Amino acid sequence: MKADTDVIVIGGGFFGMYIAEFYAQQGKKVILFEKEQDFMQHASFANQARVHNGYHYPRSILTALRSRVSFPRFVDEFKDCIDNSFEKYYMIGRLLSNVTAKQFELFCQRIGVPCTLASRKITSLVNPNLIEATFSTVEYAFDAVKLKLAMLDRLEHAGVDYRLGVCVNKITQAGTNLTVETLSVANDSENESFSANQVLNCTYSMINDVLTKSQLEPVALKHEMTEMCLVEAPDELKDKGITVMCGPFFSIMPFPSERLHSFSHVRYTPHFQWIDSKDSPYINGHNYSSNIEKKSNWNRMLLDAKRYMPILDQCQYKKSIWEVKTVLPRSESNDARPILFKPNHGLLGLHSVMGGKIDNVYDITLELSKHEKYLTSI
Amino acid sequence: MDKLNSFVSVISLIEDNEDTIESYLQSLHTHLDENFEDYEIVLIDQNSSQTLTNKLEKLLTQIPSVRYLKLAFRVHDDVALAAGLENAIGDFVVLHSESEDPVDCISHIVKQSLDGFDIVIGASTQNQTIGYKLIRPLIQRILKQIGYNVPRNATGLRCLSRRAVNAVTQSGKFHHKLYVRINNTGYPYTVFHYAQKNYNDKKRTLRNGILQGLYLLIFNSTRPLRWMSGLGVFGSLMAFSFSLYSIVIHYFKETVIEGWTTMVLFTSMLFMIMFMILAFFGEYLGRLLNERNDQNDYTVSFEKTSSVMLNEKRKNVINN
Ligand SMILES: Cc1cc2nc3c(=O)[nH]c(=O)nc-3n(C[C@H](O)[C@H](O)[C@H](O)COP(=O)(O)OP(=O)(O)OC[C@H]3O[C@@H](n4cnc5c(N)ncnc54)[C@H](O)[C@@H]3O)c2cc1C
Repeated sequence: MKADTDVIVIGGGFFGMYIAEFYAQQGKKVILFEKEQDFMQHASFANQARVHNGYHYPRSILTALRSRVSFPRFVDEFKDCIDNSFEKYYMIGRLLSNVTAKQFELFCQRIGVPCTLASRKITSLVNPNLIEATFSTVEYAFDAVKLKLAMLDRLEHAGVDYRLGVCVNKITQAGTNLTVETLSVANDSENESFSANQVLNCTYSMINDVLTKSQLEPVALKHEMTEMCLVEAPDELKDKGITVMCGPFFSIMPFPSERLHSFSHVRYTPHFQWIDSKDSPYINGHNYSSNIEKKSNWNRMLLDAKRYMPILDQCQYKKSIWEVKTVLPRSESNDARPILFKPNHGLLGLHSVMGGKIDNVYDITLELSKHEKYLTSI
Repeated sequence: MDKLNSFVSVISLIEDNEDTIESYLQSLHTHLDENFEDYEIVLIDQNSSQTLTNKLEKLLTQIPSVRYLKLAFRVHDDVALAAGLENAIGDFVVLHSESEDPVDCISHIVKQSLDGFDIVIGASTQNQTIGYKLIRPLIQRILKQIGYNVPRNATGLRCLSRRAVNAVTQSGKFHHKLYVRINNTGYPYTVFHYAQKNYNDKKRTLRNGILQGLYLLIFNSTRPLRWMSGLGVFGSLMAFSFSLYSIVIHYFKETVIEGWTTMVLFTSMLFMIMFMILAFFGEYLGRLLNERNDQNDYTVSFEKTSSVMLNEKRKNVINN
């Protein structure tokens, strides 16, 4: 039996959109389902907007080098969505840090990223008892709203058939094809089913939701209920981004889509974490995050951060954005290779993919091309 | 009762006691939750047993706002508390002991601090052992000499305002000098009187009093070194006069044997003095070496924080 379409992509985050376009450009017929009424409303919006340039991974040279390679590519591909107008500083914490200033400097040299000691202008704002050194670096932020619009434009251009407000409920094998059952979110009596050769599960924190509903084995994933604060930075910091490495520290960076700064803290951004496993009841991340009582950790983030930089006391808190962050449990100890690629997981033709950061999309498309043979019609 | 709108950090050293830790944390949590808008419990673990670590990790999923810092190796209790002080984020920081201080003294001591005292020193209302009572005034006198003027019956309980915490942690290497530095910030202080828990146990004994006094002395001042030098000078003067005496006696008395007792007495005394001096030199040399060493006073091997499932909103939303 001929399928309705070649490829179905589930999830209209950045990854789903990019992958849908990737297949459409190869001449395949693609349908993209997104359960929200708009694209990129979850992790692809509610994140720190950092375009990683390697600095973040002093404990995993490989990841750092890969970031280093993706960085110029991403910045070039999405020029109009990039904010490169700010100065970026990496500071090394004195207490509780996993890396020393010397090690960090050496690491930057090794992966070939700019890293020079910062000037008095910035060092005079920090508490030297808690910060060992401050380095001036190069790192950018992306504007998630512009990125969404750019991707939407590209989807239209590539001829992707997309459906908003449609939730994929179940996937089953039907001969060599897959049947995808969908529900309209606005009206749950409206259900449809589609058949496809390949289905890409790009639902990030909801990957296991799709899998368990299809009675398939979940993937080992760790989730964190995260809170990122959006603040109006004091004038001295308006055109600056600061990240303290490498431990339970804070980071403040421009958040271009809201013209504010994002404020996050390794200790206080995650409120609760859990691991999907067969032994404990499944937690639906999106439902959970909309149902919980959201008691902000802003006060704690600020209390801690202003010990490092007293000027942060002048930040004006605006709001918090809450989102489920998903990571692979194994990358915890060394931050290594944060992508998930599970071809034919549970069903022939069903592939679950996830990237730990936006520019991992290149690692994913690379994997998809490598597996071209069995990803195309069987 | 209204909750206080200040963020309180409670620092406590984990005593290797698996049976009590859970109820201690529970009661801390209940007390803090009743009295403060927001708080953290900073537990410092001086390399306790693996079973206790496992137990604590489980408790982290049940009790919110706990930070669990495990130190890589055992250090003096003052250094461990200093590690907590350095990592606490609160407006007020309380140094609390599970076995000595009742939990509900936390809100009292913080309130006392809110009245305008940057430092509140806990003092026990109970009596000490006779030995301790005898030696304490002497130690107190000596400690006063090095600038540590602590109230009578002071315990380890302290409450510090953020300003005081900053003053202490920014005063260079303070880890071994914690309590003296706390006393010497120059900010207003007061005393909080309370009844200690498990009073008759170990702590306030003669032996402990002396050890504590010595520790404070050695880490906070070079004055004892001067005293020892003085003693050394005295000893050598004695030795000098004795040698003079032995020369003089040689000319005036025929039976030198007579001086034998005095000689033995003197040499042994001088030896004693010499060894005392050597002991102190050793102590100071060790300290100098420690200070010169780039090694940190403590190393944190990891920090873990509470991860408690968040309450779901009550489902009483009315659907129109
Ligand atoms: C707090 C935080 C900070 C971060 N900081 C950074 C950073 O600074 N830099 C960086 O590069 N990365 C960062 N990340 C990671 C980055 O956000 C993610 O790697 C990326 O957004 C993942 O994109 P995605 O498309 O896979 O996921 P998402 O954007 O979450 O997209 C998944 C989509 O699937 C949809 N969906 C789910 N289930 C279904 C279903 N059954 N049917 C239909 N649709 C469904 C969802 O509605 C959602 O839109 C951060 C993440 C978080 C949470």
